[in-house]
Amino acid sequence: MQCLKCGNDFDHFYECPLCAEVWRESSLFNRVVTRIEDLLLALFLGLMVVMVLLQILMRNFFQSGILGGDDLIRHLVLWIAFIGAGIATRSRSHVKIDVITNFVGSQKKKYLDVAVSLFSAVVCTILMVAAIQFVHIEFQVQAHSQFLNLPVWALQVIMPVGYLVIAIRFVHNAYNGLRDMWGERKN
Amino acid sequence: MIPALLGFIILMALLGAPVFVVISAFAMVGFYFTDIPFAALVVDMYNKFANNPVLYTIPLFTFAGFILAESRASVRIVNFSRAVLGWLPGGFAIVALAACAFFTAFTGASGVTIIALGGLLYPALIKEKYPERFSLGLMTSSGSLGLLFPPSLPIIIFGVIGETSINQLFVAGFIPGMLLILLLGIYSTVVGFRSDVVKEKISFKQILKTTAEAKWELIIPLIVVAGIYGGYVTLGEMATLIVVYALIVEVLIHREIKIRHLPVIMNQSMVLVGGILIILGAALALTNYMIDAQVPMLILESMEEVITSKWVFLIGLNVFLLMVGCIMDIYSALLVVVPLIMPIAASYGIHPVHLGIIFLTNMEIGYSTPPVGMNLFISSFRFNKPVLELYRAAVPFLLILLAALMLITYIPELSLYLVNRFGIQ
Repeated sequence: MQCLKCGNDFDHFYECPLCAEVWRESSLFNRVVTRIEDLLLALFLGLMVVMVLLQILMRNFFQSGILGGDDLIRHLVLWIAFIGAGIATRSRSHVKIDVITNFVGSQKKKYLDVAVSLFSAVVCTILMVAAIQFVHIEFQVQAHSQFLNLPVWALQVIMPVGYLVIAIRFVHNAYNGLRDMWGERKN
Repeated sequence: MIPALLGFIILMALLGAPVFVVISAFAMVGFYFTDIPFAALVVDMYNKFANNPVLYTIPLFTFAGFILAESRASVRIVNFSRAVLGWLPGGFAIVALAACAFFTAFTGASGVTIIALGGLLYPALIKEKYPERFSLGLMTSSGSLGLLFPPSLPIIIFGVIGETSINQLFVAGFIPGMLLILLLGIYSTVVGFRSDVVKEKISFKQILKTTAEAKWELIIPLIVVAGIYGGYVTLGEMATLIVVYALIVEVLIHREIKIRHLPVIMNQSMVLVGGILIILGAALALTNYMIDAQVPMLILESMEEVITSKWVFLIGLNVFLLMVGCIMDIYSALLVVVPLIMPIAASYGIHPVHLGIIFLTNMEIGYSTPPVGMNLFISSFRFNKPVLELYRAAVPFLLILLAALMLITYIPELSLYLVNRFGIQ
């Protein structure tokens, strides 16, 4: 399957994950965040593999381990989860229960999409606030991870940031939908 | 006020709001009206992530599965199965079943199987004179076959959520998974006889040739089983080793994946993982609320008056799970429903591992059940057929899978025999 936008070849996939919805006509926010997301995702997944391999090697050959290595690996999952969820919002591939949208026309679909995006944005904003409260508590406790003595709140900071990015994307989505509809009405 | 809010959230869900948003919204309503601070929405998510020792296998196994899906491993595996099984009447249909099961076990029934293998298998089925409707139904229902084989993602998630031994679940799924393939295989054979399909001659030269081509991929399941049950490595280490192995095989030996494609594959696989894990986070908060409000206890109390025996409960459970499978995708269902039914099933004396296999078989069927089975829509998209035609095509396969479900539900030994025989912990 060839990507219609950038011409890259991506076997078997629905759409080109690097450019879908984003590269063309997208805002500065989207372009920058997309770059960062792609970079961090590759970095963290790679780091995870390397860390586990190191742990296996050190345990079997040196009877030792990396202090706090497990702790780091588990937090990497948290980061990967939020970055992945952010990208899923960008490429509109979140899991959903599509009972109605599969059967309505494309015009109605647009209205529904705007409503659903706004609703999602509100929920994600509340989640972000909750996450900020949570990280704030941890910040005051001043706990430290065994790994490199990193402060725990720094490892958690992806939670509010992740929800923020997701919320912004939903707002953006709703805004785009409204603008499209407005444009069509004028024509 | 509360009913209005809940109604609004359900409406949004039906209109296509992401599942994690819907679940979070429910949890928010619950927390708000019981005066629990909203920070509770994320506390459980963080605690689970920071303390669970197997969660990191989810991104790793998924990444490995996507590497395999993106290479030409599918072609090699189909060629191999064809050489070994193609001489049977209905042989190529069985090849399709086996190849789909292999891929689903690694990619977690995310639709990747139909997308990756559909283009290869469907035209071949038609060419070998299988009826079109049969072929469509086969491809659709095979898209989730293999859920019960290690290292499938839904099994791992069931283990994480239900706090059940993943090693036991992997072993327990083997016989039921084989049963599903066997029954569908018998049906394919009957259809093969009736429609006089092309049969291939068995050739040992061909078997040797295709085995040599596919050997690197074929031993992956053996590595997984030997590594975990031989006690050499933990599940997480195995996931990492499989990633490295898949990279070596597809990037260095077969040279089908370029290094510069890796970020794209990472991206695509982690979108799936992120999508699931963020639902996990939301579901943990909702579960916390429901257990706090003693919802499972209340359900159990009202059920105990009506349902007195284990066997009646199992019927009810299957009907309920099939309905859940019709409207929810497997991951949301796992994350939301499992915490509710675990304590109830336990009080009726159902082994948690057996429950897991029943649950996953139900979900596997739910994938192809109208009106909203995900496989139906993916097939419709992939093979360019109207969804209604796929509804009809899926019916005979659904009936067979339902029969298998009955066997799996009422013969617990199918799931538990191997676990007990080998004393897996």
